Parts: sequence; C-alpha cells; structure tokens
Amino acid sequence: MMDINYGRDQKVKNTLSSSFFENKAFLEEALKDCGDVVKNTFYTKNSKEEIFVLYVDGMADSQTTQDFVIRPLIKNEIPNDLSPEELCSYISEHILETVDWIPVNTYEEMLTEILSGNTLLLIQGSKGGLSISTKSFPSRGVGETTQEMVIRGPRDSFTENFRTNTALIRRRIRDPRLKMHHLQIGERSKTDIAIAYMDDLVQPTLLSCVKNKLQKISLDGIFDAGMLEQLLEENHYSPFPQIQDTERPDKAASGLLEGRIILIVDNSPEVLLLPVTYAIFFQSGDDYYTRFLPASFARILRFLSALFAISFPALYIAAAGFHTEVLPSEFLFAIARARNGIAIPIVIEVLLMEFQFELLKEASIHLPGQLGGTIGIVGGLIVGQAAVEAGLVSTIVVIVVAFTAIASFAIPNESFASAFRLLRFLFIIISAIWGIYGFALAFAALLFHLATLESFGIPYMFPSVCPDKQRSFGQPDHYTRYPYRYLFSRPVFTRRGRKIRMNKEDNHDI
Amino acid sequence: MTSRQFRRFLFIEGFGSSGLSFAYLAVSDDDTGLFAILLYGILFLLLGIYLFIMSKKVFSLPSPKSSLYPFSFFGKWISLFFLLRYFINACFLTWIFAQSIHEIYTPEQSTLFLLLPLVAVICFLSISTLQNRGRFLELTFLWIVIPFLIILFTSVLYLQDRPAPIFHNTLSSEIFTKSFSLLLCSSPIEFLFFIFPVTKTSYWYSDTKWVSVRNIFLPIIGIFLSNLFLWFCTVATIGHTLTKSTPWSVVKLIQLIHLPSGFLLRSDILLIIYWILCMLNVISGYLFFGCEIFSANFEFFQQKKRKYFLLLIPVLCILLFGTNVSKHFDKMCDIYRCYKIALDFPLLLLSPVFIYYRRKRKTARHKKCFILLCLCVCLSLTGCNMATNVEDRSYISSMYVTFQKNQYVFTMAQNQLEQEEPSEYIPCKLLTLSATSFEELQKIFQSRYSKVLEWNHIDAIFISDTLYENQNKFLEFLADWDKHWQCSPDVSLILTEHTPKDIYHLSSLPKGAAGSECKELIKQKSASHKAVITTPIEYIKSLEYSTNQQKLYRLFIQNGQLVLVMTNSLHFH
Repeated sequence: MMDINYGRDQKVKNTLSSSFFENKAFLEEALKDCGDVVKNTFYTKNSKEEIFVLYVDGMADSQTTQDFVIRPLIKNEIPNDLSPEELCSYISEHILETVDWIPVNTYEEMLTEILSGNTLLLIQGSKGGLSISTKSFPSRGVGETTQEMVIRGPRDSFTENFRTNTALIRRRIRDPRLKMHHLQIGERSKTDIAIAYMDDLVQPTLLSCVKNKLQKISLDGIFDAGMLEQLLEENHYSPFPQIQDTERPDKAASGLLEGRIILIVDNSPEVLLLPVTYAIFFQSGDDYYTRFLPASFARILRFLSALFAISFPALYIAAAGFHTEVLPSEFLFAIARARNGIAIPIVIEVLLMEFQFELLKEASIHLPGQLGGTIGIVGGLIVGQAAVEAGLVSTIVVIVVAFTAIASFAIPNESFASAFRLLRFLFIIISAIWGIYGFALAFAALLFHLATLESFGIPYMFPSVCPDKQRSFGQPDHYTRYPYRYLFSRPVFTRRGRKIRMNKEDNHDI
Repeated sequence: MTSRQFRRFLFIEGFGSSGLSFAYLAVSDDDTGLFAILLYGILFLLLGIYLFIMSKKVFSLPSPKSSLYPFSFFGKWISLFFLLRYFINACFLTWIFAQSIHEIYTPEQSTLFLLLPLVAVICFLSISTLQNRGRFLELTFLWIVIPFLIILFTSVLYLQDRPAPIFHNTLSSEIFTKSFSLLLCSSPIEFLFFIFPVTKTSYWYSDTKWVSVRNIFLPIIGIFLSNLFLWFCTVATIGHTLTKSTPWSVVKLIQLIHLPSGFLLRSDILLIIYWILCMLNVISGYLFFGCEIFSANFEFFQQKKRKYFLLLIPVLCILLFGTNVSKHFDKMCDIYRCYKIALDFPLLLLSPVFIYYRRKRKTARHKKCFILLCLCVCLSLTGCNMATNVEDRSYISSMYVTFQKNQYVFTMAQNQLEQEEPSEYIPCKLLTLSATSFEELQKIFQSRYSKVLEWNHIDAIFISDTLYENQNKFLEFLADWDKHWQCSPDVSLILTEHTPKDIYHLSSLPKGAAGSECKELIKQKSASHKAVITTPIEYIKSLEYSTNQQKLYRLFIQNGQLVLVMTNSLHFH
C-alpha cells in the first residue's frame, strides 16, 4: 500500500512513478472509498496497452467519455514501435475524437483534473496521463436578476456555473484583448477563479497586485464570491464594501471596458468588480439604458436617500430630545400630541421600530418566497398598527422609520446599503446621548473613515477626493450621468493613455 | 497631496478656528471694525507670503527624502517645541469648543461629558497620514462651505428689511490690536509650511511657478473674504453692540435668519455643523502635526500604537481640567490669548527661520542673528500685549482729596479728550470715589471703568483742611503717592477750605480746569516764593529737617477768581 503525503498547502507531494501499475495503485489508494468515482481498466484493440480510466460520476459526462474516448481506443489499433512519449501523443492526436485534452504529469494535477469533472486516462507504457474535458455539472440555467432589477435593459444574470458566467461576458465583448486568467484557490476546494480584464485598458500594477493577492490566499475552501471579496479587502473592519459585486453580466462587461478587473468565482452567481468608488454603488443598471435626465435625477435621488437613511432617525431623536427649538411650533405640538400616553422614551421607541424592521427583513429573507409577502403585510400593517394602538410607539416614529427604510432600499447595492443600515443604529445612539453635537462628531468620524478608505489604490470617495488632476477624468458619470456624447473619457481606473473611449469629433457629426 | 487638497486644507485650517468669534473680535463699543479687518487682511497676506517663502527656502535645502519627509527635517529639539506648542493649542481649543457647545446648545450637559466624545473623535482623526488627512479635509470642504454659504445667503435676505449701520468706523491705534487678535485666529495657516513641500504642484515639482503661487493665494484670499463676509453679515444683521456682547455672535446671527418657507424654526443647530467640522479639523490638525513632527524625529514613537500614547498627554490634560472649564472660562480665554501672543505666535514666526539656519551651515554670525531676531520678535510681541493704548488711559488733570467717615474721598477732574476741539483748557469730567487708600482708589476705578488711571499728567492736588488736620492720614496719602512710580513727582499740593464744587465750577473757568489754572499761577509765583513747598516729595523731605512749619500754597476764591496765598501752615507731630 502506498502512503499519500499531503504538504502544508494540502497538495499531494508524491512524485509520479515511471511504472504504470504504481501510478494506478496510487490513484486507487487516493480515491479509495469514493463511491462516486468510476475507476476501471480496459485494453486497446491489440490488447497490448492497458488503460486505466477515472472520472467522477455526475460531474463528468459519461456519454462523451464512452463515445469519444473509450470507443475509439477500443476500435483503433496502436502501432507497436512507439516510445512512451510518442504513445501518448499518438493516442491524443490520432485516436481520441476530441481536442479538449491536456497532458498531466503529477499526482496533484491528476487528482485535481478528476475532481474537476474531467476524465483521466492512464496509459500503460506512456509517461503521465491525459485529462479529457468532460465536465458536465448539474446547474441551473441563466435566469433573471433577483437583486439588481431594472425597468429597461437585459435581465439575464450570472449563474453558479463558472463557464456559463465567462460565456455571458465573452458574449458581450468579442474582443481578443479580453483576457481570462484562470487559477484555483482554496487548498481543498480548489475553486476555479477567472481574472477577466481588458489587456490594453487595465492598469498593469493593479493587475499584478490582484494576482499577487489571490495567490497569497490560503484557505480550505472558497464557496462564493462573497468570501473572496472579504479576503481581498484592505480594510477588514470597515462596514463599507471595497469591492463591487454584481449579478448582471452587462454591468460586468461595462466594468471591463472601464479598465476594471472582474473576478469570476465558480459556484457563485455573482462576480466581483474592482477597484470601486462609492459613487459606483449609486449607479443602477438602467442608468445607461434610459435617457440621461431621468437617469441623473434617479442617481441624485439615491445619493440623497443614502444621506436620509443614515441621518433621519438620528436627527429626529436629537431634535425631539434636545433641540425642540428647531422644530416649527405646529410640528412640535403634533409630535407632543402623538407621544401623549407613550411611556417609553423616544430613543427606545425608534430603536424598537428599527429592530422590528430589521427583524422583518431578516425573516422575509429566510422564509420561502410565498410567505415573504405575508410577513411584510403582517409586519408592516398589523404589527405597526397594533404597536401604535397599544401605545407602544407614536405614529410619527412609524413614519420616520418607514421613510428611512424606503430610503435605504433606494440604494441599488445591497452590501453598500447594509452599511448605512448598520451605521444608522450608531447615529441613533450617539444622537440620543449628545444630540446634534454627537451627530456632528459621528458624522465627522464617518467622513474621515470614508476619506481614508481605498480600493486597490483608488480613493473610495473619488471624485470627492481626487488623487490628482489626471484622474479627474470621467466626472460626467458620477453624481449625474451626462448624455453619451459627453462621456468620451473612461473613468479613473483605466490605464493612462487609454482614457479616451469615444472620438469626440465623430460623435458630434452623428 | 493634490493642489485641490492643498487649497482646501489651508482654507479649512485658516478659517476654522475663527469661525464663530471673528466678528466679535473685530468690533468694539464704538467701532464696527472694518479697518481692523482690512489691516488683518494685509497682515494675513504677509504671513502667508512669509510662510510660503520660508517653506520654499527650507525645503529646498538638500535632505534625504524618506517616508517621514518633511517632518523628519526638524530635529529633536524643534520637534519637541512643536509638540508642546501644538498640544497646548489643541487643549485650549478643545476646552473653548466644548464650553461653547455647552453654553449654546446643551447647557444641561456638563462640559466634561461633552469632552468625552470630542476627545475620542479628535484622537481618531489625529492618527493618520498626511495623505489621508488631505483627503479628509478635501471631503469635508463642501460640508463646511455649503452651510456657510446658506448662512451668508439667508442673512443677506434678512438684511433686505432691517439692515443695521455697518460703516461706523474710527481710525485709532486699537485697530492694530484688534487686527492682531484676528490674525491669531487664523494662525493655523502655519500648516502651510509643512504641507507645501509635499504638494504635487508645489514650486519644485511644477514647471509653472504660478500654479504654486496661485495655490497659496487662493485659500488666503478665500479665508479673508469668508471672514469679511461673515463679519459684514453679522454686524449688518445684529448691529455692532450685540456683536460685541457675546463671543458667539455668529450663532445669534444664525438664530435670527430663517430658512425659506419656515422649514425650521431655528436653523442654527443644523447650520452650525460647519463650525463643528472646522473646529474638529483645526484641533485634530494640531494634534496630528504635533504627533507627526515629534514621532518623525523620535524613532521610538514611530509606531502607530505609540502615537496613541503620545496623544494621551493632551487627552488627559483636556479631561483632567475639563471640569474647571465652565468656572474659569473667561480667565482661560485670557490665558490662551496671552499664550498665543507671547509664545505661540512668536514661535510660529521664528521656527521656520530657526529650521532654516539649523539645516544650513551654522556660523557664529548666523547664531547671533537668530538670537537677535528671536529677542526682537518675542519682546516686541510680548510688549505689544502689555501695552495700553494711549486713548485707553484716563488722564487726571487735578484731584481734590478729603477725609470723611474713615475714608478718603477723591474728586478727580478727568480730561475729556474726545469731546471738544483743542483749546487752552481741556474740558474735564468730575468723578468722585471713596476709598480707604490711594491704592484702593485705582483698583476701584479699573474695575468700574476698565481703564487705567494716568497720574503722570496731573497738575494739582487740592488737600482739604479736614485731611490736612488729620496729619496721619495726610502723610499716609503722600506716602502712597510717593510709593507709585507712575505718579507725577511734580504735582502741586494746595491746601484749601473750599469744596470741590466751589473749585471746579467757577464761572470764569471751564469745568474742572482749576488744576491747570493753579499750576499756571504757581509757575508765575515760583520766582518770588522760593521757600514754598509745592510737591509731595518736598513736603515729606521737609519733615526730615524737623521744622515745625512748612510753607504751602492755600487756595482761595475771590470774586469768582482763584487766588493762591502762601501760608505758614502748622505741622503736627
């Protein structure tokens, strides 16, 4: 029995033997007790060479293996006078009825190929083996976007299938300069990752930085882009995402044309885009498919809604608890009347409603789709109304929390919006203790934190924080979206010398 | 640091600390302060030019460029000075800020309670890099400028109905004092010295020197105009009397103005965020630069965690003395003003020169020049602080002294310099005060009239018979007079049986002019009456010879005229 040695990086360290039977024994030992692995031996037509075939049932297409690999090998005769090197190349070039194969020369490669859904052929009398692409994973088809809905524009979204996702991007950019560098991350999961970029637009330093970072990741398994995102972020403690995630292929393709890098992770229905600035999180898919005026209006609305989401309950508490002189008399008396008979303080009232809202959100996520709507009605109408009637909360607070919730949902990116929802609690508590003064201090601290954040060398608050004059290109697509004829330059992420994306003069002739 | 970051950095730091009190410092009881502000503008521009030139000179000197550049340029001793200076500034500004918030917005919360979050936030803002700080200030710029512009705009709308007179100015020497105080408010502009060399468009990085010149002068002009507009809106809206009444007169202005359509009853609480952000930037700026300069020159403190330990010094000071801020706020402001004038501002001016000479080859001549320069700057600025303007003194032309009910009663003829056109006799105002001693009289006067009594130009002291007969008290008064170096030794002592009313309200003389008239009379008689004692010193001296009789002048009023007669007065032992 052969011992299998795994290194600290969880890779097999045994070296390939020159003996076919030793290699066969090793693979059998390595894949012992793996019921889903098919391991069998067959012979070529002249019964001279023994061939050992391995694949994972369910991950590899057995029909393809049968029709295009095994049958030709059984039917065709192999010349006798071939050296070990020539034997392998003869089989792959003259017998196999597929071109999607690669030679494998280590145990680690062999095992990885088998477990990735490919079929491994170990041929007696040849050095190494052949891995034939027969991947056929169970996966769902391309569906509609569920998180980044648009009124106008494509509706397809990424799926868990790695190859489908790369195809969705490639379908949109038919340019040979679109490169997809493949690698595997996860010492045990060996998850496929693709680094997609436009060769002539991406900044070389950025690309090498991303590659280095990815290669340094040492973790058992990566199961979603979300995990990779957190591993790549520079500031781990920030509530703000420093890498954009999207399930929309059009957004990903558009990012590529801006010189950004896309990370496609196997088994993840979303891809990662980097670098990112805060303004990108306020861009929605249909901003570019509708006319510039409504698109710009919607974008400004989203900026304001973010401000509103973070500050409205806190300002209400500060004004009602400390600075009643701010409020116009009628409004002040209305609040006072509404709070008549309510025993709990304003801050607890607001926190109670905010928690209730967060609970509803959490519950509706985990409930089956059919019940999701029901919980919304139960929470929004019945609990809210009952709480008011029971004298637990005032109507004003219900309005404040409802407005805030609507505002927070207007932010198109969920992970970005959740940062605002989280910080809202901090602002509420600080305003309850120190009033407007505390609010202003917390706001200054937030601005400072945002000012110091960077996403792969790009200031997070760009263009509010401008690194240098050159990089202020692409201003017309931040707070508002200008008409297309003014969007002639690519944004800050693009390599220098490749900033122009539209011939200005030609465009004006249209 | 980019050009935009540099400009915004300078604007916020320069404008920040004067945000609320600029108008208050500019006006006085009878002056709206326009000339003081104009002079401030000139001084501020000169300060900017000086710092620009010195920064250019100092940082052009050869130096190994490290990650700690330009702070590594300073050397250990200078960095220690900077640390102390900046920490003191940060402490005082934090107290003033917290006390202002306490007084204006949250009187129910103690100052110490307000200091806790403030200290946490400024520490958070202070441990950073210069680049991050530049970005932060660039980001906060709009949050400062937008509320500020709203204030200006709405106050101009308010002015349409009821503008207060604004161009009520007098040219006096007080203008310089005021403009100097205003300049002290903008002293954080000194950060220009450090950040200019790391700006990408600074002189030696850029092909066009006008870019760097523009980058310096835009924020300086911006600060001046912002302050000018703020002063204009404040004084024109609430008038100069109200502006002078409180250090937070800008808050009064914001309280008066309303946002369109009555959106908020009082908008000051929201709009004042510009000042809060400004102050946070200035305070954290002092702490940041203090820490950075110090740690760049002391390797031990270069680690981030150790910088936090360094910050503990001001934090503990702020919190330990925080409870006393409310009680001694005015005193603290006075101390801070003195510190700024006597130490901080001279060091602001001298440090660049010192660094320059330190980096250059040191010769004995350089050292001497530098020491002389230090002395000149320190002494002149310190002297300016102690100086009392000529118009701020109260000149007494003559005094009538009597003793009643165990107290001296002083009736003083005080010159009214500002009232009339110059003439032979300066018009006087009579003022009567009681005190147990001459020293107490001066204290009482200063506390009531906030002016300094000037005794060097007094002509005569009329001694009543009541006092003269009580020789102990008379001698005590003379000893007190003689003790003070600032009391005229040539004043004429004149005995009289008349009351002050009789002496000072003669129809033949202007009110209170009796003193100067008597002096004239004594002058005329001095040739013939050589033996007469006319001054306190002569009187005290005569006692040493144990003569029983001293010849003094006695004043009589005959037919509405003053008459001086030489008398043989008895001396009582």
